[in-house]
Formats: sequence, C-alpha cells, structure tokens
Amino acid sequence: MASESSPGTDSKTREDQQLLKQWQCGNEAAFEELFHKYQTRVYSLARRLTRSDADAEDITAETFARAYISLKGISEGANVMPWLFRVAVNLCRDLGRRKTSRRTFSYDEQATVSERESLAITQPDLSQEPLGRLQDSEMKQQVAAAIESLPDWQREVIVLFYLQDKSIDETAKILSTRTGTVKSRLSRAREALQSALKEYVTGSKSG
Amino acid sequence: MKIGCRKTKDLLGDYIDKLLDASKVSLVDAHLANCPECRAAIVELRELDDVIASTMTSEPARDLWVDVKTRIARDRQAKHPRSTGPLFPRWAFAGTLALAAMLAFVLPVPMARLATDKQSGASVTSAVTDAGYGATYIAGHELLNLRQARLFDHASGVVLASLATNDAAGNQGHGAHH
Repeated sequence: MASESSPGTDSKTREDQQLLKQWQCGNEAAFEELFHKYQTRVYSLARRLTRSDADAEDITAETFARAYISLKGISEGANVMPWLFRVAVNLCRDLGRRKTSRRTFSYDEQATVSERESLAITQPDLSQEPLGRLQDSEMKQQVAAAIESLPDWQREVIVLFYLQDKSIDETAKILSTRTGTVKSRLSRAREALQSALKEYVTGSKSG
Repeated sequence: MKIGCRKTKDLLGDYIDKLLDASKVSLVDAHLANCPECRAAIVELRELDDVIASTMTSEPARDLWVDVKTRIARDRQAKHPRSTGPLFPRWAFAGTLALAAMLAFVLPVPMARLATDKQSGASVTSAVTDAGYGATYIAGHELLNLRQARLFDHASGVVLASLATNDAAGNQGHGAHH
C-alpha cells in the first residue's frame, strides 16, 4: 500500500512534538510558535466551513485558547495539527447549529447574500493582465466559489484533505469516519467541482 | 491483467492522491499508455487538484495572537477566580481560628496541650498541631505569670493572632498538662 502521508509529514510532526514538549516544560514562546505555524491553516479551515471572515477569526482564536488548556497535559507523541483541526471542525459545526436554531434556514445556507456576492466571480479587466495569469486567477475564484457551494459533508472532507497535506487517514480520524467514506466523498466533491468548472468554461466560451 | 476505461476512471482519484498499491498503479499506467481519453482525464484531474490546493489557503486579515492571549487570560480567570479576587474567605477562616484560640485561654477549656518546664524556670513553648484546622497553637508559660499564645496559619506562615495576658491565679496555665 502506498503511503497516505505526504513527504515531510513525519518531520513536521516531530517538530510539533518538540515544540509541544518545550511548551509543556514551561517555554511559553513554543506555544506562540505553534500558533503562528498553524494559524493560517486553522483559519482557512474555519473560513471555508463557515464562509465568514469574522466567524473564522473567532473560531481560530477559540481553537488555540482551548489548545492552551487541553494540550498542556496531553501525552508525548500527540499530533498537534489533527487535534487543532478536530476542535475547529467541532466549533464550526456548533456555530452552524446555533445559527440554524436562531435563523430559519439551514447550516448550508448560512452565508448571507452579501457574503455570496463577495464570492461571485468578478470580471477582470482583460487589457490589464497577462492571459495565463488571468485564466489562473479566474479559475481559482471559480473553484473557491464552487467549494463554498458544496454541501457540508463534501466541503468538510475536501477542505480537511487539502489542508492536511492530502492525508486520507487523518481526515477520516478528524471526522470520525472510515477512510472509504472519505474517499467516496472526496471523489464526489471533485466531480462536483469539475462539473462546476466545465459549466463556467462552457459559459465563458459561449458568452 | 488489463483494466478498461471505466475501472481506470474509478481509480484516477486514488492514483493522483498516491493511495494505490504498486500492482494497481501498474494497471492504471498500462491503460493510460494506450488510452488518450483517460490520459486527457487525468491531466484535467491533476489541474483541478492543483487549483483546489492553491485555492484552499486563506490568510487572516490580521494576526490573531492577541485574541488568543485575551481568551487564555479569560479562561484562567474563570478557572481560578481567587487568584485575582479578595482574600476575604481565607482571612475569615483565619479570624475564626484566632478567636477560638483566644477563647481557649480566657475560658478554662483546654484547646491545646501546653507544656511548661518549671525546673529551668525559663519560658518554654510547646506546639500542638490541630490537624483538623490546619493551625498550630503555641503557648508559653513564664514564672512571671505571663501567658502568651500565638496562632499560626500553616498555609501562609502568618501569625494570625497573639495573646498576652496576666494570669495571677493560674500561673500553671489552665490548659497545661505535664
């Protein structure tokens, strides 16, 4: 069986464990270093799941505040990144449930109209950018919008998978599900993104 | 053994994610070598994979470390409210003990066993620990009928109360036992 971790994952894990140990021994700067190492990834996860900058900031700060309490007594050899992601995913789900109970629409529809508009593709000025860069930028915007429109169960899988250096095993552990389930959800999410892109490309050509 | 287009397309996701074992990789490679349609499909899938990976990361608009520190401080305060709160409960407890010690000398009720050394004629003290209250009574007896008592708090090491009284009638001390 091929390895399910990308190269360098083990060394990153060892680095994290060293930082964790230093912090547990009283070096407060080690925790700050862990924070700055994972701030962007945790924020990105929360941003993709909540579709809100403010909620993502809130969840990121809360995730690390909880880590400060809980990781102090965690055993040596614990893997920091999946732990952070698990907490962040749970906070995103809790937020979704709270919003669902407050509002009448579903978790999937929590993005406001203005948020959705901000995700919409803006037509770039063709005279200003080189063609390759333009296409790349347009495609990224299209994919970002398509990811945000995926249902929760697909979005969680695809976001975790890519933010965790494509680890199926870790994604399955974080979501407390089987690797087979992760693979099939990932496959469906990619199909959905691919068809969204094809529609966009077809629409661009015909328009 | 060979596989067709349908089976190959089912495996392409695992193929680009490097999740296939060597035997299946060989089967897919063999099919791709002879199938332009599946080769085009895998090129498309790899492009999509690259775009998704490059799209996934978003930087926060500001460094959130200050927010984290604020929350940590809040959580600490919630967990240990006494660390920043008034010391009233501790001193209220100590005051009760001090009052009890004073009463033990004023009233003929022995709260602590006292020891004196008449032979030397010097002031000696004997400490009896009251384990139930976490305090130590130290009583002294002198030939000049001066009895002194002090109450210590073990936790802080602070003298909580002291008593000095002339007791003409009871120079052996009410609570003294030999």
